[in-house]
Amino acid sequence: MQGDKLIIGLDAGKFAIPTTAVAGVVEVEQLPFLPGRAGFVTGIISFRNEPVAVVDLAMALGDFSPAPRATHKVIVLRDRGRALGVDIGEAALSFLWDEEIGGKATDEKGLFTSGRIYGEESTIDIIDWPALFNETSRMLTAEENVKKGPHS
Amino acid sequence: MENTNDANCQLTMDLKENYNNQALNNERRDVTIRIPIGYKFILGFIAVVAAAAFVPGLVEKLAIAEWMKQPLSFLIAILIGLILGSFFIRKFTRDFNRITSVAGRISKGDLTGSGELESEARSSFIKDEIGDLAQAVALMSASLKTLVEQLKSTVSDLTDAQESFSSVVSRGHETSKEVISGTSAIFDGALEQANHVGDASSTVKAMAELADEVAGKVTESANASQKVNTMVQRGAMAVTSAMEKMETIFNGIENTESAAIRLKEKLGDIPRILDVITHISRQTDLLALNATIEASKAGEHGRGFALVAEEVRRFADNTNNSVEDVSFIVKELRLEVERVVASASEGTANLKGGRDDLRKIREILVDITNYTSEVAEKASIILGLTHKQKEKAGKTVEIIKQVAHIAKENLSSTERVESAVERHGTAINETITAAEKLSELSKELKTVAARFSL
Repeated sequence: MQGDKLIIGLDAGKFAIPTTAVAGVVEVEQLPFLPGRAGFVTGIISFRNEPVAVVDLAMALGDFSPAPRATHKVIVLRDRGRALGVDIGEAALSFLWDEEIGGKATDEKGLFTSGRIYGEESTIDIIDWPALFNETSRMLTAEENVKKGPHS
Repeated sequence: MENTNDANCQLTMDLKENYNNQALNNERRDVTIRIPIGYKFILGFIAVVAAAAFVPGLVEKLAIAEWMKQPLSFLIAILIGLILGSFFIRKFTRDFNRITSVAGRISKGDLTGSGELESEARSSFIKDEIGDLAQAVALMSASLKTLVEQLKSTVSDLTDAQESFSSVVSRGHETSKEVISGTSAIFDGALEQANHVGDASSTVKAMAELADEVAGKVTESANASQKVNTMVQRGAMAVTSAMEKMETIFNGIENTESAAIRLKEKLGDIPRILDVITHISRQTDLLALNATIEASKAGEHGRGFALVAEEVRRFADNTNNSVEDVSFIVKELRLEVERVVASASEGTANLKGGRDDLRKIREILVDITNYTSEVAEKASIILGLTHKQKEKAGKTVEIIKQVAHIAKENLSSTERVESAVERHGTAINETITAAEKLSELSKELKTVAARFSL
């Protein structure tokens, strides 16, 4: 729960990701089509000459009717050699420093959230980015298994 | 009248013939013995005296008593005297009675006895005053007979002439009535003509005054046309000058339109530049964001860098906001420029139309100038014609006056003619009366002439 947070302002609310999990933020006009995509996996980008699968954060959080977007800000998460792009659309990004968080964070968990920060003006849900990794991996793996299944 | 003259001539000729016959009788009478009545009385007296002178001598020779001789001589002388006296008296009485009888018959109109008296007078060897009287009465009777015959003929002719005269007078009376009627109609016509001439005179006078007024108006119109022509020419010159200035304005507006179009094109380049700036600012923002993330990863050592990166990011945001503001301003500017271009294009189009209109106006002004010149020229011609019309109207007024004078004279003459015709009608009536009297006289004369037996 400690460490600086990258704050994502979505329509559904504000969400926080630890900056330590962020490899970088890129902006693309459109996402290349990812064959066999499923669930909230929406595409693939190239980040530092590495293909990265991209998931839609709003869809992952249960909003399956996102507005069309002119540009896509993609937050690239990296965890032990794995990379995952999180498409936040045109949402604003800001930082919440660890000193600012203090004792305002709790362990309240939700769907792909692992805690909550109670700020002075609003609450910020902390994204359970490992779970997001796992679910994406699961979906991509399951999809690949579906494709391979009958023949393997 | 001609018949009467013929009758008079015939009567004169007959009288001359009687005179000639009388002269012839006088010549015949030269072969007879003419003894005046006085001589016959003297002869009778001489015979009585001779008887008284010779009877005693004869009685002396008779064988009678002496005392009887003287009474017997006296008695015989008286007897001779009585016989002679009786003879003369009977002779005279018989001639006078015959003459008296013929005169009485003549007085009764019987002129048939003059022939016997004439024949006896001619047959008598011894003539005297009684024979002359008988012959004169016979001659008078013959002359009267001839006169009566001439009178009857004249009466007959007179009757015919009177009938003809009555017929002529009647026709003259009818004609006189027609003439009176026609004269009245002529008088009415002359009066109406005089009135019409008066009206025509008034009308022509009014026309002359109107022509005078028209001449004045035409003069004013001609002067106004000249002024209008001058003003139109000045207007055409002013329009030409204005067109030249408008041409300069048109060129300026067209240049403005070209400049606005170029400005619009240049403004079209600005969004691309702003896109580049926006892209750069976004990339700067992302770069600063990533730098902040990396600084965050550095912990306490990266805080300063994170602040700098945050400042850079804020700068990028400000740049982005400024670019958005500039983009908004550029959009508004572009809209304004588009409005300016549209307005300039519209103005240019309108000015083209205005230029065409001005060109048309100039052409129209040229036409108007030509037309006004023609109008002025025609107004001058009309003015001349109006003056001529005025002169003609004046002459017409004079002629109408003369005609009115003649009409008045005609009216007066017609009045005189009418009065003369009326007098003529009165004379005709008097003539009719005279003809009627003449007819009565003719009838009476005919009656008188009928009393004579020829």
